[in-house]
Amino acid sequence: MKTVLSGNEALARGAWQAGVMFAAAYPGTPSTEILESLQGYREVHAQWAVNEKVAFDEALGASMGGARALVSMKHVGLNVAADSFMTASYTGVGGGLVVVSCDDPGMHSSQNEQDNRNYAAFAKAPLLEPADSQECLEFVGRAFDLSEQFDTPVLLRLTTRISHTRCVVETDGKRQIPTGRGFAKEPEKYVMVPAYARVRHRIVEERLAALAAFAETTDLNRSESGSGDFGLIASGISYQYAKEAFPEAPIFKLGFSYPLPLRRLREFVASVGRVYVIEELDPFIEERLLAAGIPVRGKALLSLCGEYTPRAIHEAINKDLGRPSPLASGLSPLTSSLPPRPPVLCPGCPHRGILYALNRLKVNVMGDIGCYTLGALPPLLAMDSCVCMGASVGLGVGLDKVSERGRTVAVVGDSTFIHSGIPPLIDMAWNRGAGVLIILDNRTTAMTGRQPTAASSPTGSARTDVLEGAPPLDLVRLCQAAGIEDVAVVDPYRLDQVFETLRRALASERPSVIITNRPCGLLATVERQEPLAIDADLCQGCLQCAELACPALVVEGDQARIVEELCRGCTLCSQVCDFGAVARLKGT
Amino acid sequence: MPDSPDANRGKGATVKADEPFNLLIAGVGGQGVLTLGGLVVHAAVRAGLDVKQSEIHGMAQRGGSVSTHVRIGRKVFSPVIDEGAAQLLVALEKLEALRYLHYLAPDGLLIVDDRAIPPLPVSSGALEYPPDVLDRCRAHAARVEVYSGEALASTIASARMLNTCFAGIVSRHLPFDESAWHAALAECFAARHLEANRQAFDHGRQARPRV
Repeated sequence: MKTVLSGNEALARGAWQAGVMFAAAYPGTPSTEILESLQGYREVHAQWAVNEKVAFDEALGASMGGARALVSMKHVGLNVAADSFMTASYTGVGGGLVVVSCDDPGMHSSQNEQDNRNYAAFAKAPLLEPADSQECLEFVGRAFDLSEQFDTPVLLRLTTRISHTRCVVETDGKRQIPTGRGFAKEPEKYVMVPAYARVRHRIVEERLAALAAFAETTDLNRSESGSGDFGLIASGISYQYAKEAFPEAPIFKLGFSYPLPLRRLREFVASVGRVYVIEELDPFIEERLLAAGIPVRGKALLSLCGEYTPRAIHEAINKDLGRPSPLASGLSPLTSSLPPRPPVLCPGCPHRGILYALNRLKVNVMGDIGCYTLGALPPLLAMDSCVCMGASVGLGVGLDKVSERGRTVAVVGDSTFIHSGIPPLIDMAWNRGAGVLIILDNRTTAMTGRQPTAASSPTGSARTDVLEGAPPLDLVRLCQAAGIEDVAVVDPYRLDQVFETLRRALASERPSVIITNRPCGLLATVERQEPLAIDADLCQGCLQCAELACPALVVEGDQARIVEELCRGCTLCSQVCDFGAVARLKGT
Repeated sequence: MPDSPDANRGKGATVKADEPFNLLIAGVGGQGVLTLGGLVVHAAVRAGLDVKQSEIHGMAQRGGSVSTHVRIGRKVFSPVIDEGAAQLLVALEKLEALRYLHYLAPDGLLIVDDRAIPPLPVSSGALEYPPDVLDRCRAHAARVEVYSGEALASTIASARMLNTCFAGIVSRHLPFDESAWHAALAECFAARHLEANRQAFDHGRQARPRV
């Protein structure tokens, strides 16, 4: 059967076909659709976890229980789960355990572009890199087999252009019947106290040697013959770019890229002569080949940063060979002369009022990861840092301790707070920081497509995958239990309330938390309010309303106008207008 | 400009065996850029060709600039179109046409909706929407077809189906049978929206560019 699937959808299909019984993930672009797709297969327990480490532990637990288990995350998610991954390499698995990392070269929606192939070497676990959707489907099944054969978690690494490219996939669509055999008590294998772990480390090293031998024979790696006076080595999406740039060149395609098949690569390089390694980001393959005395070139001519393109590869290699690159050069980009079109907070977004107030109060804002990060852009300019998930809370504690009182605010969304903001909140109370933490509770993980959070309720969520009977996490009581005495809940659509609460919290000698109580406007359960309009006779053209950065508000000449179809009726613009020029359409 | 929808079919838009056809679609989050790309993908599969569609998610609902690359051929490797290599650039908003114009091949065709959707830096009064967008498009692109999305939208069931209407326009430049397109529509839309989308598609297929 021929079908069109993205890499993420194909991976989910392949995992289902391979008999996966349990899957967990925390949403993160470009990985999110893997778990979303798995939730479409009723035989699979596929659940959102509060963060990637929890997801990893749950998958490892299911694996110990004898089931095939999968955990997926974006590249930086593996930093969160790394603690578990490093030692899961020692414990090995029960049922097959596949760890999917979706890297983001080019940082289309990430804060860094770390190369997670390094994690395979770090954890001494095998690494598979599919190069298209068909391979996503096939490799995940191979990864489960390998995991069980070698008693190891397997790292399956995708990149944005693999995850989010739709292509033709051939599949028989049959599911392997899982043979879950239940949990077997094996303390020497699963209890990593030093005495047992020392034994396991030796097993890990032996396993790595066995995997290196396997790499020499597996059909996951293949040498494609060709013509010309140079050859190429590539894995993942770089293979597609290399083939596009030089379709005739001999190429060694690595599908199983750690540990490397050094013998076969040595033979390939010896047979071809001059060989280039094509790999985005780190010289992961190149350095290992050079260390083994296999002469190749790569990063001397190709960038360490960002994504490659076929043209970039074509030009770099031709230049290295002293040849012209015959591809026509097009028009140079006009982008720099055009107004940018950045993503913006939606009309009616409950974050907007808080960000506006933070801008006005001129405080230092430790920000976090979510839609509200868009508040860093002008005119809101209300984010002074963004590092990684949950960092805002700890950054706020540290900055506050070395700053003038009442100057520091940390801002985090509900999902990010639950992900990794709770331990630093406890620390904030315990270490008596005097800063202010604002939790923007919009009841969802909005930026990645509105997945539920532990604080979502089944009725309050846009989605049906909140488990019936699961009590929504009570953020107020959680903060109080952590030791925060000043916990205030504000309506972010009431600017007077927002300013008053913020000023009081900033003046306080005690740590305080402010929680907003309006859901994301994109949730299906949120009703649209009557739109507003600006009375041109009353408008003085001060454009204070434009400072809210609302897409529904358009400045024309020296006056502002509200686009009725876009307005969600949040009333913030009428609250900042000193001239009473903004009112609801209905009733005026 | 062609007098009948079929006069231009295949012209400068042949899908060759050894050289994939490159289609870049650009627009603003919420306009249905990715859905339009998906229609082309499914039609290509129906026509028995290899196809890859690369897209960037994450920001699509936040009104940012959105693009998708579609490559069609006997065998497609890279999912990404090189700059200067798109035989066809479709822009559902004219400023986005300029933003991606450097992807257009020297002999390529630009299909552009002449609507202007001001980005936030413009709507908030900080920057000006360039007054000469279509002139600049014409100065740099070998061939330009301008359509009035607003006029097209007024003749179909819903302005939200304008992307399907543009699929009809695009269909005239790709050598797929009409049956492949109709199969693609059936694959991409739920049954209750199918008939209206079919009409929007047919309307686009008959539409003529503005003179």
